[in-house]
Amino acid sequence: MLLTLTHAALRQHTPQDARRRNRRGWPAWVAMAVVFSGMTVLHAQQADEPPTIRLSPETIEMGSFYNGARIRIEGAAPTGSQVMVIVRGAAKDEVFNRKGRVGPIWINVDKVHVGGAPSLFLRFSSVDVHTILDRKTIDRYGLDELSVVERMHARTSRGEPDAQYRELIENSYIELKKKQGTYRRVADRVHLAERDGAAQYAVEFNWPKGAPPGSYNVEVYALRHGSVVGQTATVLRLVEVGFPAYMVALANEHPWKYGLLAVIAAVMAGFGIDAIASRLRPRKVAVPKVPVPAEAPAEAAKAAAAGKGDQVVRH
Amino acid sequence: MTQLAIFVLALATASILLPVAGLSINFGLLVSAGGIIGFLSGMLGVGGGFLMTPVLMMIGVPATIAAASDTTAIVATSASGMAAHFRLKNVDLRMGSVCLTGGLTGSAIGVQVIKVLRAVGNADLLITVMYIVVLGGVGTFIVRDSFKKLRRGALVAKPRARPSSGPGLLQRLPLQMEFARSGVRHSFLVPFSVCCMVGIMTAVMGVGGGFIMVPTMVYLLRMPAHVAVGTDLFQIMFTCIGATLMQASTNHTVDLVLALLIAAGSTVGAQIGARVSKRMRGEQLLMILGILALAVGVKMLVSILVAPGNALSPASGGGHAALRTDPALVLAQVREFVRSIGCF
Repeated sequence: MLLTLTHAALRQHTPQDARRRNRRGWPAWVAMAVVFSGMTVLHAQQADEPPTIRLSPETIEMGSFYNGARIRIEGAAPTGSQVMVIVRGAAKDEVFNRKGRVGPIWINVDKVHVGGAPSLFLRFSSVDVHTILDRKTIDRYGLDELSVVERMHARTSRGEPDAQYRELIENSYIELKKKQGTYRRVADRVHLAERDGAAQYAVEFNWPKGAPPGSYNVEVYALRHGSVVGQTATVLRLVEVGFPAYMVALANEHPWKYGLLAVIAAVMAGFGIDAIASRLRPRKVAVPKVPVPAEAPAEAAKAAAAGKGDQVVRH
Repeated sequence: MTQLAIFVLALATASILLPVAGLSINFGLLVSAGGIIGFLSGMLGVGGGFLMTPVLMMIGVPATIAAASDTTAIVATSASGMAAHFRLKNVDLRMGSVCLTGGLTGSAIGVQVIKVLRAVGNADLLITVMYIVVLGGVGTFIVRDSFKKLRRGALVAKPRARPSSGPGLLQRLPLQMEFARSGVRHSFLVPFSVCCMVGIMTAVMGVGGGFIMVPTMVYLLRMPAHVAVGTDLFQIMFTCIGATLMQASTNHTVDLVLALLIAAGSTVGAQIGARVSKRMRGEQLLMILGILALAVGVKMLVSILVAPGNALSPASGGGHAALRTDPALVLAQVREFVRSIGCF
């Protein structure tokens, strides 16, 4: 289209079309303006190359004694821009009980099925995002929890919830996720330094121990003058290795064998501990029978009766 | 000795990955939580699911995995507790088998009751109220009764075995059986029907049954408290074995590592609990059970009267009570299992 317009604009300069040019000269100026603005945009885009991204590590291996990990994300963004890093987990279907008031009491009144919201949402930025981006842009890119849950689908036992009920579900969902630590945002965590004609950024954080294995999308946004001027994304993998990986494969591929193994292991653990405990029990020391002296039969009988009575009470 | 202490300390503070849950949790925390629950289980004959599942959820385990893995841990705990009680001659295998049959039959009926309740609506309200009334009622009765007995006849030896003391009609029922270990004589129909009723209640309320079964055995079947505890553990073990197989095959929610870690603590706790129970009098045991039942009932009452912090709470998949949700599903699972191991 740009070439066509340019060609049309050049054609206006030929002497054969002089009369025509005088009469219909304005389209040529418009076309030229379009050409120049197009070139300006192209130049601007060339200047704002998408941010680069490096993850360390790119894959987190979860062995038997896995205890979380330290993640470093770094790269370069267009000069003069602020940077925001978002880590999103895959969408997951979840079921919740909804508490409601029936008379004076609070009980489960509904089952709510929620899907389409990321299982994890971590946001780190060099500045408070809400101070430089408007609501529309935040919603467009899904840059905060509200915009994320707006995209989720919720279904109750009576079908689609109405607007008020949906708002309640969204707010409760965010609150629950924040409490679980899977939805988190931290401003001023991304460190910026202007170097080599670009804004070098870096962020380090502890990967949440409770995050399940899977693929997580790491997105980097360059923000300037109230808009997103560049974005890039990569994948961070969380994989189980060794014994945990073997157990998961067994549980999913041979569920009956896994179930049987679980039962046998549990029963053996129970009986095993009992066997160990019975061996550890101090053995009773055999008390030699003391012959009852003939001269004190009454006292001996009393003592025997007292011992017997105690045993009966403490059966 | 110092090296051993350092090793134990390092182990207690280490984290371990739960493969199926896919999350990392402190080793010592799980084992000690299991130990406390196991102690109660060994001492009082309760399964422990009503305490363990919420504890696991509190430390971050997803609800469905917490409920299913807890069931597997209860297999270990009840096996350990039952073995200890068996050695102490506190398990009546005959009574346990009759009660297990009755309980499972009652569960099947209870499932149908639940379906009707759900169709009518407000089933949850009814279940919650039933929970509070039953636990509160049973708890109050046991505490009062035990308190009276403790005050009145602290040193009076009570006859251990008592015959069925119902009206003549009960004694004339067919299929009379001698339950030697319990020291009672009943028609097969009596424990069967009583346990069937308990099965219906536990299916409707979604609990394992220890809370209701032990008092039922003591007060209605007139079994000695210690034997009731041991016998109840016997039937809990079998119920939970079935539930574990079902959860593993249907929902894939059993985390064996989690279950074994809880079991490591709870089996030891169950042993200690069983020993402690032997040193205590029946009335004292029942009083503790009553107080615990009362406490859970009061907690439930408070939870329904006070507005919740969040309108949503994660729905759990049900633990050992899940076995009592759909007998048709259980039968289908058993059939699939038999086919999978190649019997036919």
